[in-house]
Amino acid sequence: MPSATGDTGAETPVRAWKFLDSGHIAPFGGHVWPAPAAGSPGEWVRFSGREIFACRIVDLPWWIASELWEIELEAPVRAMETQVAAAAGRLLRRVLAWDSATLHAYGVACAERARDLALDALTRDGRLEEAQALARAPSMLELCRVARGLAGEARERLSSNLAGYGAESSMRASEGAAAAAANITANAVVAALDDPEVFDRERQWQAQWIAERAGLASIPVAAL
Amino acid sequence: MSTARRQDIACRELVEILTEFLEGALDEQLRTRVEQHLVLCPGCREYLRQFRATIGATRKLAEEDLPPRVRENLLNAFRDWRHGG
Amino acid sequence: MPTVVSPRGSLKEPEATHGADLAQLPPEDRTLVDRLRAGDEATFLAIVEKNHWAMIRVARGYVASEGVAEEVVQDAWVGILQGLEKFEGRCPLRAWMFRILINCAKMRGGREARSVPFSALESESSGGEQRPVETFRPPDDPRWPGHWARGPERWTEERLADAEALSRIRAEIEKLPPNQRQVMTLRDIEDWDSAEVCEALGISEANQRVLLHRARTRVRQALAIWAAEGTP
Repeated sequence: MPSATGDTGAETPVRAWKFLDSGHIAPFGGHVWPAPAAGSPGEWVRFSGREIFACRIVDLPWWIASELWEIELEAPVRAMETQVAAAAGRLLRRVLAWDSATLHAYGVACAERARDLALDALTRDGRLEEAQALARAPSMLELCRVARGLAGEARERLSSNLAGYGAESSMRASEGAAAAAANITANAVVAALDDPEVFDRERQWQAQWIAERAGLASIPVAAL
Repeated sequence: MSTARRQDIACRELVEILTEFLEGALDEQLRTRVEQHLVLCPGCREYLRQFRATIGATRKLAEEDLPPRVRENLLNAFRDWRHGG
Repeated sequence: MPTVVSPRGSLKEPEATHGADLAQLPPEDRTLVDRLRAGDEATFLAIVEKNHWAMIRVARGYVASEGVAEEVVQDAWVGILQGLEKFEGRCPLRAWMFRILINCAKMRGGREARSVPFSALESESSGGEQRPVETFRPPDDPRWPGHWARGPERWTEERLADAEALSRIRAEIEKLPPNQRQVMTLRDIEDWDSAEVCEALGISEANQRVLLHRARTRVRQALAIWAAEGTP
């Protein structure tokens, strides 16, 4: 498989990733992307007056949806803050490892990180029994219930605020709303460290999790 | 206390700019923020669904039929005008 | 025999195909104008039929009752026909028609101002009396200021397909402030594009969008309240 670069002027198509809703439907436009068939890529999709958007690995956490696809983009590809844009794209293959179970596991992994932040803070605060109750919660729903009970003085105590994030994140994870859980966790990290910059770092952790579980790491992605 | 990341828009802001979003009137940066927010917010996704459903249902209010009485009145007006009335 | 109110009272005989040059008009409009000027009834009726309900609704925004709105529409048609000869086609036919309609409606509505019931003159703020179904977190919320506190309840397909939903929409549109009602009527019921609406109402794109947004927001909220009523 040829690896592609995004050098301006190069005609080589660039490969990237794209999240779509079930049925390979674009989440915002609602149009149906042509799927690959019989070993051939899907047809090129091109709009007049509108670009095609896709993800580098680092962008994936921003665009979570139920289907993940490998996509080929027509050069030149424009790099934006959290996605890349091109005049045309076509679907190459569906990433089968990204399914509802993986999506769910992603939400749970993020919620567990939020829980761990709360655990650390509660421990530092000397609230050891509460920390233990949190650590012992066997399910996302139970975690939510326990954490919610500890979130009462969120304005006054960081540990309570983080318990609040933990409750919210685990609630979303239990609902299967993994993107919501992940965002809540990234916000929790910012609160825990009192530093807005760590948001992106947490997103990177999330991107790494997705790439590993979906087996994306082995395929070269355009360096832009 | 540090709260939500400075660049995420709040739900309250999103619902204010929904029509602009649907019309493609937002600049790229703001449109991207709206889209990102929709990914992570089930509440706003549902709100958008409802907003669109409202517009879709409203379309059904379009009526076609002209009441016969009105038709007659206007036709008379037309004929009057045609004959210099 | 119904009386046709003629605001201008002109008795001048309109010349059949003569009229101001229409070079700027799109071809479809030009054909319509030519045929109207030639006295073609079928064309006239077709235009009437296509626009009648939009005209009624727009007129209704200025006057106290449906009956008066009908009279206004009638007046407007006379004004339109009499103005045909001089129509220069610098804006689309429909926009020009509706401008005349709105002028008639304003004249008529002005004269009746004393007897217009309060509900027809509802201002923006009166919509806020509705009990909110959804709420936002306050600005001092520790984690999510401005985010949903109680978010929208999911609407089911059945609830929306209920005929009652449509009458709720209709009722709420009736209660909108006139300028919001006009814009939502023309954009969302009659499916006009935004440029045409701006042209007909003489408002800017930005202003039109604000009015449309407010109208849609209120109608959605009314539907949300209704949808919530049905659930146990």
